[in-house]
Amino acid sequence: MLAKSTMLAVVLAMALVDIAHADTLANVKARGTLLCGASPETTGFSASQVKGNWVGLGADYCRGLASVIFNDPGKVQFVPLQPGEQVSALISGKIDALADLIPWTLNSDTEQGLMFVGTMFFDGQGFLVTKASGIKSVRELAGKQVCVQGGGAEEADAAEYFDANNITATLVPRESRDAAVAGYVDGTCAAFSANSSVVAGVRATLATPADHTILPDLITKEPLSLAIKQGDDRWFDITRWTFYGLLDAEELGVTQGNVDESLGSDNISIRRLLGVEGDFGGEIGLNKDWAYQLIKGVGNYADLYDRNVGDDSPLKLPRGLNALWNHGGIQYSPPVR
Amino acid sequence: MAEIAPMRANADNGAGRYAVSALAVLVAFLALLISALPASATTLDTIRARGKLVCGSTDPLPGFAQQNKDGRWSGFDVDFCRAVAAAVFGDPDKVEFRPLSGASRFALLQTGDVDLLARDAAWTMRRDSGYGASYVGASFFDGQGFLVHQSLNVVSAYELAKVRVCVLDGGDEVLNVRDFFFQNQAAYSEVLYEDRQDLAVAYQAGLCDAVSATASWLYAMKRELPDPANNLILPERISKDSFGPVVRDGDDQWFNIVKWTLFTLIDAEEVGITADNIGSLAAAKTPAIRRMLGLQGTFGAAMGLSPDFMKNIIAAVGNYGEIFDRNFGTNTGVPMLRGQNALWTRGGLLFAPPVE
Repeated sequence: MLAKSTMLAVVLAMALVDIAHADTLANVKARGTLLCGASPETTGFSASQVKGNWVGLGADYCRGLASVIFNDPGKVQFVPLQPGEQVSALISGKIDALADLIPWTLNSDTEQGLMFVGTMFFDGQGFLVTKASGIKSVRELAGKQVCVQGGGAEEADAAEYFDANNITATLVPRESRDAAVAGYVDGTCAAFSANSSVVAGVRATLATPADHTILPDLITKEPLSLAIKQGDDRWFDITRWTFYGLLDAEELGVTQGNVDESLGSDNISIRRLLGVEGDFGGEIGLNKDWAYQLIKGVGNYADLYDRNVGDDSPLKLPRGLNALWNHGGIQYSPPVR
Repeated sequence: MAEIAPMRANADNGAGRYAVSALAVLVAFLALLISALPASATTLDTIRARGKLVCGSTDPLPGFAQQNKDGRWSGFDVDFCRAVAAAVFGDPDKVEFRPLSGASRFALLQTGDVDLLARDAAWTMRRDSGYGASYVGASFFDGQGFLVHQSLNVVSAYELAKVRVCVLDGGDEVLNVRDFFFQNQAAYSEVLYEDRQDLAVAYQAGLCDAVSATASWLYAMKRELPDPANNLILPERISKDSFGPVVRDGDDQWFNIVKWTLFTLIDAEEVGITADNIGSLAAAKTPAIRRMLGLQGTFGAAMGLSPDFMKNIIAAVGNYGEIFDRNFGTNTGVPMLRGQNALWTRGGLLFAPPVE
C-alpha cells in the first residue's frame, strides 16, 4: 500500500511539476488551430491584409507551421495585434507565434522574454536612387543630398556612416518618412534612405518603379526575425526546424511544384528531408513527413521570398544577403539528419 | 479570443487533481523535493556557486583543443570556453576543461557534469532536437574535403581520378565520396577504415593517395604530419557541416549567455574592437563600440551578467578573428583560410545580431 501510494504521489507530483512547463504544441493541437499574431506592417514582410487575405513572409511562415502540425496550411488564425503588443501577446499565450518579424538585437533577445528562432529577412538601411542618376554605390552619393526621416536611427546611422567613410553627402532630415519621400520625388534629394524593406515599399508606390533602383550597399544590419516566448524547448525546436526546413528544401531543389515527384528521389538528403528515410519529426511531436507537408503547403524559402518580396511581388527585391550561403548570401541551415 | 486561455486551463486541471488527492501532504513534500533538485537551480547559479565553468571540449585535436607540457589548454574551442568564463566571472581562467569522446558527450551535458559543449558534433536536426540539448548558433562552418600530397600534382578535387581515397566507413562521408566521384564520372577506389586515426596512419604509409573527411579534421591531421607543407587540403567542399556551442534544454538564460558570448566575439570583430586596442577605446565615439564596452546603454543584467561582460570577453580572448588567427593563423605554420568563417561583410557567413 505504501509503495502504491508513493507511486501515485510521484505521478501526481510530476503532473504538478509539469504545469510549470509550457507546452504550446499540445495547446495548438487541442485547439485545432494555430494562432499567429499580426500587426499592421510593411507590405510583404510580416503580414498584412490584402483583399481579405493575410500575405507576407511571416504570414506564409505561420501557414508553414500549420502545415507541419496539421498537414493543412489553412489551420491558422491570424490575430490582429496593436503595434507594440507582440511581446505581451506571446507571453500571455494569446498567440502561439508571430507573423510579425522582429528586429533581433541584444536587447530584444534578452530583456523581454522572447526567444529568437531564425532570421527570415536580413534587412539594413539602404538607399533609393533614380536609374538615370547613374549612381551605383553609396560612395557615389558624395556631393549629393540624401532625404531621410529626421530624429531617429536612420538619420543618425547615415550621418555616422558618411562620417566614418569620409563621404561628403548632405543629409536632409524631414519631419516624417512621407516628407522625406516627397523630397526625393520632387528632386530636392538624389537619394532617399531607410531600411531596404521600407525603401522597396516606397519604390513600389512611385509612378514608374522601374525607373528607380536600390543601391546594393546596406549601412546597418537589421535581422528581421521569427520569435516565440521563452520556456518551451519543444516549441523552439518545432519553430526553428520549420524555418530550417524552408532553407534546406531550397538548397536541395525541392519546391512546392516538384515536392511530390521529389518523394521518389534517390538523393539521401532529400529522402531524409521528406521523411522517406528515417524519422526526424517524432522526437519533437511531429510526423516524419513534416517537411513534405511544409513544402506542399507553402513551398521552400525561395518560393516564399519570390512571392512576397522578390520578383513575383511589387517589391522586386533582389535576394542579396538573403540568398543561400552557396549562392552569395548568408542564409544557411543545418541539415535534416 | 475569449474561449482560449491555454495556460489557465492546464493550471485548473492540475489543481483539481491536487485537491482530490488524499495524499496531498506527501505530494506537496515530493513536489518540494523535486523543485529542490539541483536541476531546477539555474545553470548560472550553479556555476557561480561552484566557482568555475565546466566546459566540454573535443577530444584533443590540434588547433581546436590541445594541452601543453605544463597541462595548460589552448585552441579554438578552449578560447570559446574562456570567453564564457570571462562573461560569467570576468576571469577567463575560472574554467575546467573536460575532454569528451563521441558517445558520452550529450549524456554528460544532460546530467549537468558539463555546462556546455564548446564545438563538438556537427549541427544536425537529430542532435538539435533529440538529445535534450540545443545549438546556440554556428561558430565554425565546415565541410568534407580532400587532403592530398603535393606530389599528386592536383589543385582541385575535380582533378582527382584513378586515386585511392581513405575514408571512414559506415557513415555519410563515404556516401559523399561516392556521390562526388559518380557525378564527376571519375574512377577511384575506396580504402575504408572504422577509426579516424587509421586514416592518417594509412595515408602516411602510402596506402591511399587522398584522405576525405571534414576539413577541420583534415587540417588537424595535416598539422600532425611530419611534412605538413608538402600536403594540401583541396578547396572544394562536398558536404556542409557547421559546428557550434551546445547547451542543455530547459534554461533559456544560459542559452542566451552562451549565444551572446559567441555573438560578442563576432560583433567585436565587425566593429573593430580587439584585445589590443580595447584599453584605448574609452573615448571612442562610435555608438556600436561604446555599447559593447558598456559605456552606453545597459546590457547584460537581464541575463544575470555584469554590464561590462562584453568588454571582459574581448579583453580576455580577443574577437573572433583574433581567436581564429591565434589558433589557425600563419604563426601555427599551417594556416587555414577564413573562407566561410569570415564575417558576412567580407564574403563569409559569420553574422551576429547587433548590440542595441
